[in-house]
Amino acid sequence: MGILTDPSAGQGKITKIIIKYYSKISVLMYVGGVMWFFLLAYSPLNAGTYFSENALLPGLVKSEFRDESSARQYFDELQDEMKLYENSIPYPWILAKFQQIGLDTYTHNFTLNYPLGKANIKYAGKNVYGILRAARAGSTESLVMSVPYRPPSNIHPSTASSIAIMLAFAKHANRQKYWSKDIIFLITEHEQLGVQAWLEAYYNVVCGHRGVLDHGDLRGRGGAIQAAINLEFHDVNIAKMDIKVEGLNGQLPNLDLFNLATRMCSKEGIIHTFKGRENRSYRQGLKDWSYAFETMMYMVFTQATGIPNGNHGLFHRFGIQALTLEGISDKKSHYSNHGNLLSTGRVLESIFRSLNNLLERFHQSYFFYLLPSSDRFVSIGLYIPSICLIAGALFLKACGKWFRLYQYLVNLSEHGNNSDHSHAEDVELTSDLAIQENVNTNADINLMQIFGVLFFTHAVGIIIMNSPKVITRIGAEYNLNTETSVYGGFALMFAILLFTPLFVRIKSCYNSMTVLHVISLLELGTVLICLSMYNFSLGMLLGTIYVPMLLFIEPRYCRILSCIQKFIWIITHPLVVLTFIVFIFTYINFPGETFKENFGRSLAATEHALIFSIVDFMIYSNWLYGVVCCVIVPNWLCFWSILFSAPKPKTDSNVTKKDN
Amino acid sequence: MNKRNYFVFHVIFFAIIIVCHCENYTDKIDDFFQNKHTNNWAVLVDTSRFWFNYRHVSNVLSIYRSVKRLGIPDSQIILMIADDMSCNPRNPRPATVFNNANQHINVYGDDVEVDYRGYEVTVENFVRLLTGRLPPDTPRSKQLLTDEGSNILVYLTGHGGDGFLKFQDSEEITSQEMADALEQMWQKQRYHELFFMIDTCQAASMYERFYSPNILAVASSLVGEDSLSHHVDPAIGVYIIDRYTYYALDFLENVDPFSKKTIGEFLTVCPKRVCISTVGIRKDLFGRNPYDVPVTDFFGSVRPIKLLSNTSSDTNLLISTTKKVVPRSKSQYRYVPPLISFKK
Repeated sequence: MGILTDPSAGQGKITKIIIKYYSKISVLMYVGGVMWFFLLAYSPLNAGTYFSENALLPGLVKSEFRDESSARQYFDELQDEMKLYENSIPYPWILAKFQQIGLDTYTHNFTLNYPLGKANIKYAGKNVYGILRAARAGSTESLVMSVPYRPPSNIHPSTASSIAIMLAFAKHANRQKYWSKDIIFLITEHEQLGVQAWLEAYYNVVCGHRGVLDHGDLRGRGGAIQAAINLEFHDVNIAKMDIKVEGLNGQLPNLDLFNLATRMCSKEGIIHTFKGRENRSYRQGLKDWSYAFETMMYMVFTQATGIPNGNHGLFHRFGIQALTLEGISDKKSHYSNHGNLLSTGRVLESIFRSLNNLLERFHQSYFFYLLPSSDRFVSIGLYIPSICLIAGALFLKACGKWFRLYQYLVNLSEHGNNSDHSHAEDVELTSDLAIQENVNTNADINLMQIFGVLFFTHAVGIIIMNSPKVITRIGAEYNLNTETSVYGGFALMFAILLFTPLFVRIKSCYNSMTVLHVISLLELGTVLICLSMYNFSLGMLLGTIYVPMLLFIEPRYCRILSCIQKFIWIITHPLVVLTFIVFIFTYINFPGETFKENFGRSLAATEHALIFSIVDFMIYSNWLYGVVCCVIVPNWLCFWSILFSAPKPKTDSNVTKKDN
Repeated sequence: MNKRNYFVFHVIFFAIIIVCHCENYTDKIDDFFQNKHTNNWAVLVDTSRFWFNYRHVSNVLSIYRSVKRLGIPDSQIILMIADDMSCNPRNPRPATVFNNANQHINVYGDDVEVDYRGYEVTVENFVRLLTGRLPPDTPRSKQLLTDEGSNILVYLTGHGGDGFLKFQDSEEITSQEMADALEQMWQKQRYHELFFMIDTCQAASMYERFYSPNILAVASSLVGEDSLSHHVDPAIGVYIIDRYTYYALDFLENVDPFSKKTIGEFLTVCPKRVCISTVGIRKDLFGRNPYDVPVTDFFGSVRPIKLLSNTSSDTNLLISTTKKVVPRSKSQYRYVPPLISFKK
């Protein structure tokens, strides 16, 4: 088999097939990939979950927790205490309880220097944690049980009952002699910020931009953290336990941990849900599939944003397997206000005793998976072919375009040579002249110019990525708030960049633009594959949106077609996509409002979403913003320029016909 | 008259019974001397570590307890245990190892002598132990000091696969290595008969390559089968014993040093109905019919007894001389002169 630039390569059978049918095959590949993805939720095609870590010994031990009354008492006390602290954790009470139980008790201060807007806005926070030291083991390993504290002024539902159950569990656990790992009981402030700061302080690293989050220092540590369970119980009476797994940048905890949580909930008789949905079986293939597919798509959407849907998501980066148990209160049956703290306490006990049995980090089972329900999973081996097919369509198109260009050039030069020799023999003189002209204008592939375009677009991407700080400073000068200035600034940049093609000097050169097209296709294909290795959902969604557009986009002679292409391509700009999606969601969520109200609301929501993604990028280093700025926008610009380029010269068809 | 006849009849009857009995008795004496082995040894090995393998430690300690109860002294038991379960921080009952859910018997009692422990349990040490190629400074308790008259019980438990047995988490002994080690033992006249017992997954693969004589092998599962655990102790939170060993112990608990139960019976302790795996047996290398071999030939111990056919006067003399009491001298203390100077 010859290499691409080998003159004989154009004659191979496969090459000929690719040249002839690449557009059809790539469409087929795309459709195949999407179909494959759709079928993943069909239960005969995925697998049931199972434990692969022997050491866990899940739920073999009898639960001994029966201290429900003290949990109840802690809860009542905390309710009283919370009235005194409107905006912060009731530190003295929690510290006193930790100390009474007999834990090593510490506090941890952190500061956030808000990166946007006017300079030097600071927010301070304070976490509380207590460490239960394993009596018969060295403090080399630990487990974490964390609760985000929400003061009464917080808009989210309260987590007071999870603190109560945590304290009761700590009291029970401290009396036991079988712990082989320390247990860290962590109560954090300011939702994810507190956990992020605590983790950064624990490992003494900075994850986001330097100087944004000052993580402070910890005075007590407990060795390598093996696993973490984050609790968000909203009530003492818990009807359902929702298990959340999606972490930062779409990272997931080991499937064994998820299995452990589901299994322990079942064991103690608490209904568990995933994405708020119970496992259902309709015994009808299609209905089952659509239910499972919907569940899976919820997971895909959450994972694709890369935003953790609970405090557990920030642990994953440090190799700590973590998940959130969200206790959803039982609104309907208030037959007992005593609650079922006993069962929830036993769920925690069972999970922690299983984790206690671990001998090494979670390393068995799967780290990459999709869950169509809590008892079935799609492993990476099953889902990766779908994105490979979708991204493969791009590669195939790039390949086909390259071969065609090559064939065109070969034919052209042969024809040119022939015509040179046979000038006197006046064979289709006019056509020859036209070809000559084309050769003159098109023959050279201007590599410098191509790389110039690529460099320019990517540089622009990096500038956009780092611009928010400056934009908000400028905005603040004109008394614009942060959100508006960032969104306005981005929209302005978007508008200016629409004129990029004017400055691309090679756009009339068919050959150079084809090479640019090929490179851009390859870039996006590669990025899709790389992304989906880490965050499959993001790669899959991007692929599903962009690949059909890119298969369709081609510089054309037809004015109308060309305009439609340009319009569609503008719609797929990330900023437009974001605005569009938020509009739709607002429309769905607030159906009664007038268009004007809806518009205002969704614009504000879009601005917020943009700011959140930027702040997430700076504090937690959420990739989404970076990927979009550094890859998607530059790539978009390249294709935008390609849309304005010269289409394939018409004479080319004559040439190929002659050749055939 | 009638009464007298009756009496005579009785006497004759009893005489016959006594004679028969005596005859029987002498048979048994002969039987006793047919046993060619002169001493018993046991090599009990647990090859796996980690808390979740609690059951393997409890397996091997249970067998240890049985063979000790049946009379093999600690000096002739080599006990290899790869991990210390009793002191594992996860153990809610520190310093104990139990072999059943109700925690009746603490098999890690006061008088357990572990000869190879923790990371000493390696393939190299095991093979060196069997073949006797240990460094000269090895303590006697870590040596298998067997001879051509020794009956050896080898019990292995751990995680196995097709053709190997995993030691610790790092190495394996293959069935070929095992077979070669036993052949070396045979050539070095280190055993008379050997009973090879193994409780692992695919255990039968371990004895397939054996080619040395006088080996009787039993395995908890055939190739391609898993050996399963018997039950969980919810108080400790682990699988506490394996099925095959559990039923083997069930049998051994009813055996005492004078029991007439045979190895043949022992080989059928765990039918597939209860074991779930199929117990594999290999007896083609073994010269005798297992149903003629008492269990105590391997699990019990014989003391070296030499029965003499006729009492010779020499021995009597010897006994009498040893019985002679030396009269105490009345002058118990006397002056001992200082050291003599030889230079004079």
